[in-house]
Amino acid sequence: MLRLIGCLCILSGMLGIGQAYIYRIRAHYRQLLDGKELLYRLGNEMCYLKLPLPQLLKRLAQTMHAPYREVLTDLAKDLEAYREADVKKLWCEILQHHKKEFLLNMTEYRTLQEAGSILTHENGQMQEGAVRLYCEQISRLIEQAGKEMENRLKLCRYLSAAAGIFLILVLI
Amino acid sequence: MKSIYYIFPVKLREGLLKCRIHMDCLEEIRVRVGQPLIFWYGAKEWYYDAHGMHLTEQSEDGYIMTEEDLADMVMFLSRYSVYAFEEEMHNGFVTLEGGHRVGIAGQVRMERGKVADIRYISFLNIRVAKQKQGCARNLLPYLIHGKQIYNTLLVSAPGIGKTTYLRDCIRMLSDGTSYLSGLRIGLVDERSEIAACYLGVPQNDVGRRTDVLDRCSKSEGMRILLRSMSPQVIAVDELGTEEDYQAVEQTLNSGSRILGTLHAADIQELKEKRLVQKWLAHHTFERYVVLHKAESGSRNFKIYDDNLELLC
Repeated sequence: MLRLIGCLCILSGMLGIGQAYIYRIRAHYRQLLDGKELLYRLGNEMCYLKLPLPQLLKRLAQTMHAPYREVLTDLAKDLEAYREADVKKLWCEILQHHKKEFLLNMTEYRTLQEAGSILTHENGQMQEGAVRLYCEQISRLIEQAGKEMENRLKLCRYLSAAAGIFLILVLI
Repeated sequence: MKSIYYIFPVKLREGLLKCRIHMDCLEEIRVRVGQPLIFWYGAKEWYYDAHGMHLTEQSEDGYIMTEEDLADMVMFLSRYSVYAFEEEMHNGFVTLEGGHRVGIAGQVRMERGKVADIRYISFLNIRVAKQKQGCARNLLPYLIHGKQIYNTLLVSAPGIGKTTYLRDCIRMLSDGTSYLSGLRIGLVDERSEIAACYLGVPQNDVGRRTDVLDRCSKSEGMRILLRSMSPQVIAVDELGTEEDYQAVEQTLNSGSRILGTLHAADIQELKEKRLVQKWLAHHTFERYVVLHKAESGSRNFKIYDDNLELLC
C-alpha cells in the first residue's frame, strides 16, 4: 500500500514538472501573440486616435497582459518625466529591465526591441509601414513557434511520464 | 512654468532651473540653431550662460543651441508624439500645458498650395502665456443689456490686446458679476489663442460656463455650438470673411448674442470694411469698442453704438 502511494506521488511529481514546462511553452507562445497584438494596436492608435504617446501607452497597458503591461506602464512614466529624447532607447532599456519576465528566445527578443522604432516615426504612413514590417516578422516567429509547440508539448508529456516510471522502477 | 522647462534638453534643464528667470516679466524665449538662447523681457534681451548657469547680458557668453538640442526640444514639446501634433505644426505652433505657445519655423514642404510638412525645424519661439484678469472690468458694464449683452465687436490694430480683452470679457460674463448672472458662453477658438486648450482642456481661465470648440473654423464652429450647446453668447475672434457674416446672421436668428473682434486701427478704417458696412446697414452690432494704446503703454477704449456714434 505504501509502495503504491509512493509510486503515485513520484509519478504525479514528475507529471507536475512536465506540466510546468508545458505551461511555460504555452506562455511563450502567448507572449508572441500578445507582442503582435501590441504592435498592431500601438500602430492603429497612433495612426487613427493620434493620442500623445504617454497617454496612449497607459491606455494600452490597461488591457495588455504581463509583462507587456509593466513595460508600457514604465515607458509611459519615463516619457512623462521627459527623461530622454530618444524613445527607442528608453524602450530598449525598459525591455532589458523586464527581460527576466519574458520567455522569448534571442531572435524574438531582438525583434521586439527593434519594433520600438514604431514609436519614433513622425507620420502615419511611416508608422503603418513599420507596423506592417514588424508584425510580419513576428507572424513568422509565431508560425515557427506554433509548429514546434505541438512536438515540444508531446515530448514534455511523454518524457515526464517516462521519467516518473523510470524513477519508480529504480526506487522500487 | 514646468511645462516650459521640460521642453529644453536634459543637459540644460538643471542650469535653467538654477537661473533666476522671472517668469512674470518674461515674454518670449527665442531658440535658434547656431545662435545663443535668448530670453526676452519686453525691453531687454538676456542670454543663458551655461558655464555659470545664469542669465547674462553678454551675447558672447550665451549658450549656442545645436541641431541636436532643437531635435530634442521638438520631441519634448510634442510629448514624443510628432504624429499627434502634425496639424498644429503645419499651422506653425504648438500649445503647451499652461497655455504657452511655441512657434515653429524651418523648411516647409508645400503640397497643392498648403503646408504639407515642416522639416529641419531650426527656430522656436516660446511665448509665455499671461492672462490679464480684470483688464475688461471697466468695459463690461457698457456691454450689458438687461440680463444679456449687446452684440459687440472689439476693434483694434494688431498687438493692442483685442484677444486679451475678449478673453477677460468671456471670463467675467461666464462667471457672472454683481450686476449680471453668469451666461452660457460658446467660444469658437479657431487659433487656440483665447482658451489655449491643451488636450481639450482650457489652459486660460475662460469661466465656468464656457464651452470651447478648439481649432474649429469660425463659421462651422458657430453652427455647431448653436446646434449642440445652446449658448446665450457666442464668442469668436477675428471676424472678417463672408462665411463669418453668414454664421453671425444665423447666430442672431437663433437668439444668441455675439461677442467678437475685428482688425481695424480706428473708426475710419472700420467704416471702410465691406463687412462692417453690411452690419451697419442692418444694425447687427449694437456696440463697437475701439481699443487704443497710449504712449505710456496703458490701454483705453472708446465705445460706439450701432450707428457708430460715440457713446463714451
